[in-house]
Amino acid sequence: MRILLQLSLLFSVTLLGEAISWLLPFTFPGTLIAMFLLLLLLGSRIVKEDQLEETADFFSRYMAICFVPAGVEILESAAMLRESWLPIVIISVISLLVTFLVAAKAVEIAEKAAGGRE
Amino acid sequence: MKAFITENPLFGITITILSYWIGTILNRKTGKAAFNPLLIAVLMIIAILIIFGIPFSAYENGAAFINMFLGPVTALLAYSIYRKRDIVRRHFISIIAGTVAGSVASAVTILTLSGLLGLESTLASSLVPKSVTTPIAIAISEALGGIRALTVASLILTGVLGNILAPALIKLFRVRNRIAQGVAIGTASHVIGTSKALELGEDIGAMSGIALSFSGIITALIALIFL
Repeated sequence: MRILLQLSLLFSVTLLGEAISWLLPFTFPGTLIAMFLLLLLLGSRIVKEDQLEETADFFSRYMAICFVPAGVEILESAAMLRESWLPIVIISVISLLVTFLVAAKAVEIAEKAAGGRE
Repeated sequence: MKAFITENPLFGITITILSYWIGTILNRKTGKAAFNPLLIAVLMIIAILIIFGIPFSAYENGAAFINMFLGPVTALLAYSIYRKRDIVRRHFISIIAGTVAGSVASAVTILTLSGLLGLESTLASSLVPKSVTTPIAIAISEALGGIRALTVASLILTGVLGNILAPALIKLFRVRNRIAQGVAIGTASHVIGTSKALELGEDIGAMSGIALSFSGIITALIALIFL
C-alpha cells in the first residue's frame, strides 16, 4: 500500500512536469520541472519525506540502469564518434580541469569572505 | 527463433538488467572507477548486438521501457537535495559560488574549444552538459538538440577521469579547504567523481553530492536560457 502510494505520487508529479513542459512556449525539460515541483512539495511539507522514502532509496540506488539505453544509442552515432573522438576527449579533459579549478577557487574565496566577516 | 526472442520487448529489458548487474559485480570486485557499471553494461550490450547481428531497433523495443524511468529518476533528485537541506543551509553561499562559477566555466570552455576545434553544433550541444549528473545531462542534451548518446559517452569519460585525478588535482591546484574540494569534485565530475570524494572523507563526499545536484540545475538554467 505504502509503496503504491509512493509510486503514484512520483509518477503523477513526473507526468505533471511533462504536461507543464508541453504547455510552455519555450523548451524546458519536463523531467526538470517535475524535479522542481517535487522540491516545492517537499519544502512546503505537502509531501512528507517518508511518503517517498523507500521508492526514492530504491530508484537512487539503481538509477544508472535507466541511462543504459541512452548509452547504447552510441551505436547509431558510431560514424560521428569515429570521426570526432579526439576533439571530444580533448574537450572533456580540459573542461574537467578548468571546471575543477574554477569551482574550487570560487568556494575558497567565498569561504574566506565568510570567515572574514565573522 | 532469434527474431522471436529479440523482437520481444523482454529481450531489451533482460539484457539491460543482466549486463548492469554484471557491471555492478565487476565494479565491486575491482573497486576501480574505470569499471563503471553503466560503462560495462553499455559495452556488453553493444557487443551482444554486434556479435549476434541483432538490430538496434530490436533492443530499443525493450530499452524504451527502461528509458521511460528517466523521468521519475530525475524528479527524485529533489528528494536527495531535500534530505541534505541542513548542510545546504549551512554552506549555501559556498555551494552556490562554486557550482555557478564551475558550471559557467565548464560551458564556456566547452563552447570555446568546440569552436576552435571546428566541431558541429550538435556535437557542441552534446558536450555542454557533460559535467553534470546523468539524468539532467540527458534532459539538457535533448533540449539543446544534442545527441544524448555522445553526452553519456563524454560524461562517463569525464566522471571516470575526475574520479581518478581528483586527489592529484587537489594537490596540483593547492585546494586546502575541504568544502572546496568536495564542491569541485561534484561540479566537475558528478556522481562518478563523488564516489572518490566519499573515499577522501565523508564531509567531502557530502559536499560533492550536493554540488552535483546544484551544478546540474544551474547548468540546465544556463544552457536553456543562453543557448
